[in-house]
Amino acid sequence: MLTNKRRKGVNRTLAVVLVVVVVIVIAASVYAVSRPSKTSTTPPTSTTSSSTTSTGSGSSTTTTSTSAGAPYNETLVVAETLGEPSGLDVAWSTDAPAYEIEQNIYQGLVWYQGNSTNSYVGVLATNWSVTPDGLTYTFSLRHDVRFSNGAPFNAYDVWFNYYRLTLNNGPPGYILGPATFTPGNITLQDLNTFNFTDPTPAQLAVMENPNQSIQVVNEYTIAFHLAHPIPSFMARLAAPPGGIEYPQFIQEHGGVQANGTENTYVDANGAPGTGPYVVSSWIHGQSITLTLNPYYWGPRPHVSKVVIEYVTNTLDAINDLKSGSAQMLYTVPFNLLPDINSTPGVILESHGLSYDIAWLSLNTQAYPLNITDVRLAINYAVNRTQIIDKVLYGYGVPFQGPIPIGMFGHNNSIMPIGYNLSKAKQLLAEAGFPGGKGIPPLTLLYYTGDPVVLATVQIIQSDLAQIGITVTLEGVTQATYFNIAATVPRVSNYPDILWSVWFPDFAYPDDYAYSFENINSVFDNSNVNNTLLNLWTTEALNSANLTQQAILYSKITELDKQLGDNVWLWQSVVGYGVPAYASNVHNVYWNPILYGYNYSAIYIYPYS
Amino acid sequence: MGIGGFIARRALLTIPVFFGVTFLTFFISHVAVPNPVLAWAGEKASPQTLQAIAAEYHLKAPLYLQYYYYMSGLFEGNWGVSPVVHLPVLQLIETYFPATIELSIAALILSLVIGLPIGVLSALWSGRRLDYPIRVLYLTGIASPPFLVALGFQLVFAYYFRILPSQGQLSPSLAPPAHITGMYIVDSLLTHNWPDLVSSVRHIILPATALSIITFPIVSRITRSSMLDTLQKDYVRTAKSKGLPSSVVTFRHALRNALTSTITVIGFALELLLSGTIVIESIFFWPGIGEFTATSILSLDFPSIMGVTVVYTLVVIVTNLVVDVAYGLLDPRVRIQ
Amino acid sequence: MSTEAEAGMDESRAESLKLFLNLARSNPLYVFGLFFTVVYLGYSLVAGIDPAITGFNPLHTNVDLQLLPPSLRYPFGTDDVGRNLFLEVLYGAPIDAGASVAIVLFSFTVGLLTGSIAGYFGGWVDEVIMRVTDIFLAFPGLVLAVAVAAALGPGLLNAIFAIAVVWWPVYTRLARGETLTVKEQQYITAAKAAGVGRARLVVDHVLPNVVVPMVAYATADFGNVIILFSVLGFLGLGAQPPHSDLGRIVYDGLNYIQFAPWYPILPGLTIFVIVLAFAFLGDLVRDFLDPRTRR
Repeated sequence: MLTNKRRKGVNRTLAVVLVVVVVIVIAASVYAVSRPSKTSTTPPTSTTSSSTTSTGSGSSTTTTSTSAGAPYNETLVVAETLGEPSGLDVAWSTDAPAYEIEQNIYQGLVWYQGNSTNSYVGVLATNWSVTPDGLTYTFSLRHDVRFSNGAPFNAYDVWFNYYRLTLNNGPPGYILGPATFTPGNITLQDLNTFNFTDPTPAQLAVMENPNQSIQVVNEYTIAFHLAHPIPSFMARLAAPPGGIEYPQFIQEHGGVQANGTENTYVDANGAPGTGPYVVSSWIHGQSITLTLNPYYWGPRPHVSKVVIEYVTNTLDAINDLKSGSAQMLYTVPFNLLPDINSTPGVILESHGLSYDIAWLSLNTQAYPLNITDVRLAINYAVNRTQIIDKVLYGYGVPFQGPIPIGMFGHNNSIMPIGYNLSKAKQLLAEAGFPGGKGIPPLTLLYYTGDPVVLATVQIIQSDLAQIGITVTLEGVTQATYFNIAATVPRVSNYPDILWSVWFPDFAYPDDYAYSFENINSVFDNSNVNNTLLNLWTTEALNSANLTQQAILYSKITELDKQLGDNVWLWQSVVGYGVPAYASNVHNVYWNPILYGYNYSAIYIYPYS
Repeated sequence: MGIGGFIARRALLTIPVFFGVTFLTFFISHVAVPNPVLAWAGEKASPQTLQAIAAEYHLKAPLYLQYYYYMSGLFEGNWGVSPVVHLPVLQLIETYFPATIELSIAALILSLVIGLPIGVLSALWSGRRLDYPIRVLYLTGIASPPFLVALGFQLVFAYYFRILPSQGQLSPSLAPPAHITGMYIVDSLLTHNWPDLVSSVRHIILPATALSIITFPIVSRITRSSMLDTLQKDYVRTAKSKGLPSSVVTFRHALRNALTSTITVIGFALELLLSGTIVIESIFFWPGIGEFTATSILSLDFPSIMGVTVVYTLVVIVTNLVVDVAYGLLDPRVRIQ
Repeated sequence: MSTEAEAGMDESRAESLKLFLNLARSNPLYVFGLFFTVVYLGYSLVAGIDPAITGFNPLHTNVDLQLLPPSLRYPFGTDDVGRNLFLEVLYGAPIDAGASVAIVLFSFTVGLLTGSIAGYFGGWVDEVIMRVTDIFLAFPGLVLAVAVAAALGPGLLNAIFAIAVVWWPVYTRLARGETLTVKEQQYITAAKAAGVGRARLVVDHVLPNVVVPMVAYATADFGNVIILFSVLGFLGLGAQPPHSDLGRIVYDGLNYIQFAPWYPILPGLTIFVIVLAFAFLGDLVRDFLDPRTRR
């Protein structure tokens, strides 16, 4: 087929082509390499508190400094990388992206004062009182509040919303609803037929009956009668499921659904709320636009339009922030911090720590993790500060759990276990496994899709190899991870070490202590069944006495440290990354329990 | 047999295939993960909520029964509701499908634009020195992992040179054009929405080109071999011997006949496109069926997985049917088989 | 078979080998393809038996050295936990090789059996086998592979299984087509007339003539399998870190593409080169088997 002459010619052309391709590739790599590498990152300083409240309190006025020059009618573009809300109905959503929107369009009775979660201010409530036995809460409500469609707000709306949560029993039911109230004699039909703007005397009689969980005292006073003390009750009211939706809208669009059934219309479209904003459009897969609630009772926000874009590619989101096409970003994942750090005009949120934590749960029911010294050895062998430094770029701190720093119940004088390799080896030897000999390979289960998690578990794997423990990493999709981690009784392939993360459901210690340390909780990932822990967590859960709770939580923390079944890794700025925004965005409110941003107090100055 | 009988026979044979595919998917997704409810409702949902959702989706029923419920609902137009996104599956598919069609058409056009000349040239220069650079080009297209090509484009054009957008279908600051076909380029043309047109064209360039890299080799290969075949046919030689200049011979006779192989091309290209869109759309966050498939699989969204399966199967089956029928029409010998 | 015939076959085997090597030498692309694939497969075999020779210790993380650019010490740079990327690639490449060999062998065998049976016996056997094949072919391969892999969970074996499930139908079609062609050949009719038994017929005459063209396809197919396998790794399904395959390394490296682009790009180029080499090899084998060359 080929003559000798042709062969030589072909070879030459071919060789030239090949060389050209190779040269291009090498040139590209050299170019890539010559790009500036990451600069050092500046971790946050210790927690500072700036005193601004944004959602408006019952008795005080909002304080916004130097907003005099800032105009109104601004548009704010937010690049949101955590994903879209699953829905906008407080009775059905439990994900952070949904909470972020809901916190801006609905309001509850109370919110937190300032930047901590230790005291409350009224939002829809003006003041409240609690009986000494902790069983009855009475709230006086604001008179001048309107929903975004102009309808007036009153105590009947609260009655409707919270019974709705109770009877519908959707996913948020463990926060507010069945977890706090009992349905009593109230039926779905009541909720779906009563007139909550102007109830008939018969309907009023039902709502004002004092022998029920939720009682209307008068048009602007509501009372809650709890079956037993719930120390976290105020925190639960302040959580997103406590947001009030306009009853008639729900009645006209599917009504209150039966136990465990979703109202797809309200979930897909939201309902009128009393918050500063309304959702004016939701383009699925793309963006949500918030515009002003024309009937908002509080001070008019500076930003009249917020466009929240769901940007799946975080690199693009970062570029958007840098180029100015977005003014705020929630959030920059830790592994991408070098890309944005030290960018002029960009501020990385560093007010303080959220309550988001990460840790390893050691399965106390599996050999050899049922041996305390083995667990403690693992605790001493993991170098947390190195991980926080290199993987979180300093945006986290070690802590002794189960209660995060800054939350009531956390005891600052109980120090977390530190890195001590020789102590780890010693403990292992004392337990009968010198040099790790005799310890079978341990499985570590984690969910894929997060490079921070991947880097961390690989470092832990090599940390433990240093004391002779072999760790096998198992990465699964998030969906599979939930199936394994949250199923009781435990599945047969429950891992020895479970990567665990937690974001608060409400700002109260029992959300942490009871969840992780009590055998009856499905989130007791280390399967610890300790009589004292079970007892103390249950007592604290039901105690009406703050001092007693504080003592109990300290004892729980100390015992957890001694048992070593939870290897607390870090408490971070935000669980997923670091919020960032342009330097001309002011008055960004921060609170450890806040999901996303609260837009009503923000102003942009100078406006570009 | 007559053409009608031929079509009928072919069509009938697709029915068992359709049911086979859907049941296979059903089986895989349900047997492998029997209880996806935790993933759907979130890990903190109460046991009652989990039970209610499980009941709603008939998850406790035996497998064949679940399949029956699903298929009967399918034919009524009820494709279920995605428990992850809380929207009806059919609606989601209707939303995402036009974007993939738009991307595929663009990629198909590009692969014809790239592949046809390469195929023609390769046939003309077959055996000569110039064929080899062509072959390298073609092999490069085949050998490139699709995600690598896509990433390369993204890196070069979107991140380093910043001349083209790296994701999405439309600039986020623009509102989409009025919905006529669902394809942004077409719709913005029809509604004279020039900013949207410019933006959507800019956004489609990278993903369509990346996708066409996957499909152009098959175009050029088939063009080349069919051209080679026709170049050797008698009438071409006869035409040449009559004294016509060779270029005329090429472009009048051979190419025209080679184009009838376009049917084969489109059949093969479609298969590649369907799988290619999954990767390309994921990388470029192009809101089409491919990306929807990838996320549904990873989040164990069974109703959505079943929905896209049905769609894919229908597309493939229909295309194969059309191709088979076209062959049957063109070549009577095929019908006898 | 008589010794004469056997000797004759040996002779032609030697001739074929000479022809093959000559053909290879004629074109630098072929040289590259043949050489690289042989080295790659050989290396993978050795590394598969003893991974330590790669010099890569997945547990040796040194986070202070994370994301370093390529240098003499680290030809491909370092990854996000400070490991030598070049060694990581050396460690992962055999995984791709092993997986694709397993998948191609499986598909080849299953396809050959089912296809030749379908083609040879015809009738309803043919129809049934073809319908089943159609079912698998109606599904875009990637979708089915991803679905199976996602259902089974990540992991090397699951990924191999997922792709093998998807891959065999093409070989069935091929085998069937070749069988149909061979069935009508003169020499088959002659052998039948001579009274050669059915089984003998299939084994001695049909199969060899079916297998040979399939081998050409299979050689080039290695590259396709590696691509699909790397796509699965890219989607997070497949071999698990720290024993990542090449696709997985690219996937993990993507997170750092803007300030450490070497992390996903260089391993990605490695995949590309491997697949290219197999494509050239496939061309070489096809040329070798092309009757026009054997004049």
